[in-house]
Amino acid sequence: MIVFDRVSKQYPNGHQALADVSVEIDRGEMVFLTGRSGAGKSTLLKLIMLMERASSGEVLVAGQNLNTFSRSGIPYLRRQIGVVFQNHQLLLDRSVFDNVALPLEIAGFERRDIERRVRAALAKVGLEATMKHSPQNLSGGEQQRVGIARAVVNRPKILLADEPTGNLDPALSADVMDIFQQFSQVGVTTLIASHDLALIARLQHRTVTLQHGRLFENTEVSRAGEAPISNTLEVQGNGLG
Amino acid sequence: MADASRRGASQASVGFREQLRSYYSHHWLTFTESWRRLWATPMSTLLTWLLVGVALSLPSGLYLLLSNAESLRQDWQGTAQISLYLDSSASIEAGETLALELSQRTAVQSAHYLSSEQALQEFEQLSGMVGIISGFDENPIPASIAVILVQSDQLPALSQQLVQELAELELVDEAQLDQQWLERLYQLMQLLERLAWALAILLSVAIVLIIGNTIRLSIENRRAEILIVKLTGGTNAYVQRPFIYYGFLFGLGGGLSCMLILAAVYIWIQPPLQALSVAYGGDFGLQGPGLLDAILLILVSSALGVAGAWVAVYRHLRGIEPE
Repeated sequence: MIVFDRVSKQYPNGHQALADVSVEIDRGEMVFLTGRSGAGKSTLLKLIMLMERASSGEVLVAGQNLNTFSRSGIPYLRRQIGVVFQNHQLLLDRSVFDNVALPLEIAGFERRDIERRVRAALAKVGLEATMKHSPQNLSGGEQQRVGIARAVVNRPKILLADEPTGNLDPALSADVMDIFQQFSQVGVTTLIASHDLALIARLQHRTVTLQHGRLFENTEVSRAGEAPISNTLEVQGNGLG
Repeated sequence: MADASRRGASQASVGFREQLRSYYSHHWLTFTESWRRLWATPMSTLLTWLLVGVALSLPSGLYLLLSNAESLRQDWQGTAQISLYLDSSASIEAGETLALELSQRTAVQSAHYLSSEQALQEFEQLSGMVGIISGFDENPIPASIAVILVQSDQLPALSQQLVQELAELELVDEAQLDQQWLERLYQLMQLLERLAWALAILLSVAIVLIIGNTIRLSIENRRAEILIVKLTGGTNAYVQRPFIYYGFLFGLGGGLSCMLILAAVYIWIQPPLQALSVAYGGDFGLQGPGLLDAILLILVSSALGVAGAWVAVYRHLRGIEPE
């Protein structure tokens, strides 16, 4: 579903954000992307969203080569990708319903479809009751869940999350990760950038670690749940050291 | 979206027909939403409308005045008249005889003698300055003959010739072709028309800039929203649509407020104009803007608003990309 083939990204100011990264993520897989701040996690996500383009190498998303993707096609690529941000990025002058409905309005759904899908998405994150509220009146965890509802309301093939639990306490973080797992189980390819290594270790999914823009570790975890704990700890040690 | 057909049942896909319907309904939704947003800040919206209205009312008011003057000029152009001012020594009988003689000529439609006494009375009546004139020792107004020429295509050349000829007559002190001031008026109007156009062009540019700047501010205010819309797959067309409607609504309201301004000025100057018209014994009335003029004005104004919106969108909106 997502293929990085020897991808490098150098910004105009000379900063080398990614160097020679090759990663392949299958359909329905849930993968954690870790590494210290500035290791290139955000850049990798931006390349998938076509917020940036690779300097060299190839990025393929859902079978489409992003190197040759036209500028006018970018919105249509983004409609296949749901994104969850660290600071939820909700519009505070609109209700929870309108926030979640936004991607559907953009994609051109009819009003009654929008209503049905928004209800379903909010029910999935357990916030159906807050539909008419302003996001300002919700707690941080609830706001983040509204952000997730917005990301999945259009039933995207791919779900990206950039530090989705960055501002949440451990219990809320576990809740949010649980929601992501549910989506991955119904076939949504999920890529989560996070440095919450304790949480990642508990969840036992494949972990891709970046360091100074290079692929440092690509840890496979068996679905049976035999987590290579030592491996992950090693990553943690390297990542922080 | 190339692989829409290959998507599974769980994937969100939208048919073309549904998309088209949704496209129009989104247009309508955006329009009403833009309208609602404009009314959320009524003062600044009204001020923008007023600003556009004032800027438009200058050239369009001038245009109205000119088209009134033009219709007057055309009314008067048909009647070429030569005024013969007679020598003060000429008697009333001699003047009347000359008028009769002149009216026999083929080029002359009629010739009407006006004695200095009659002229004075007429002047007093028109001006209302009875006392002042009677203060003179003798009547300062000369007797005159108004010679109205027969309509013809060669009128300009013919009348010039006739003026020279009549000026030679013994009784005639001065012969004046009353057409001359019409020609001068025409030249003045041409000058004013060019000025009106220059004014219209300059103020149109100003309106585009005013509306462009207003929309730039609202783009800045909605920056966060624009970023999120772009991140969730909003096309440029989708993002800019509400701002184009803003421009349209600013232009539309500006055009309407211009109409109101013109109507107010029209009503305000009507009474003194009527009085002036009566004083000149004419039936001159100012023509207000017709329905077609009004529609044209509002169309032009709306187009200027849309142009202003495009300027803002191209300069400011396209640059807002998620980073």
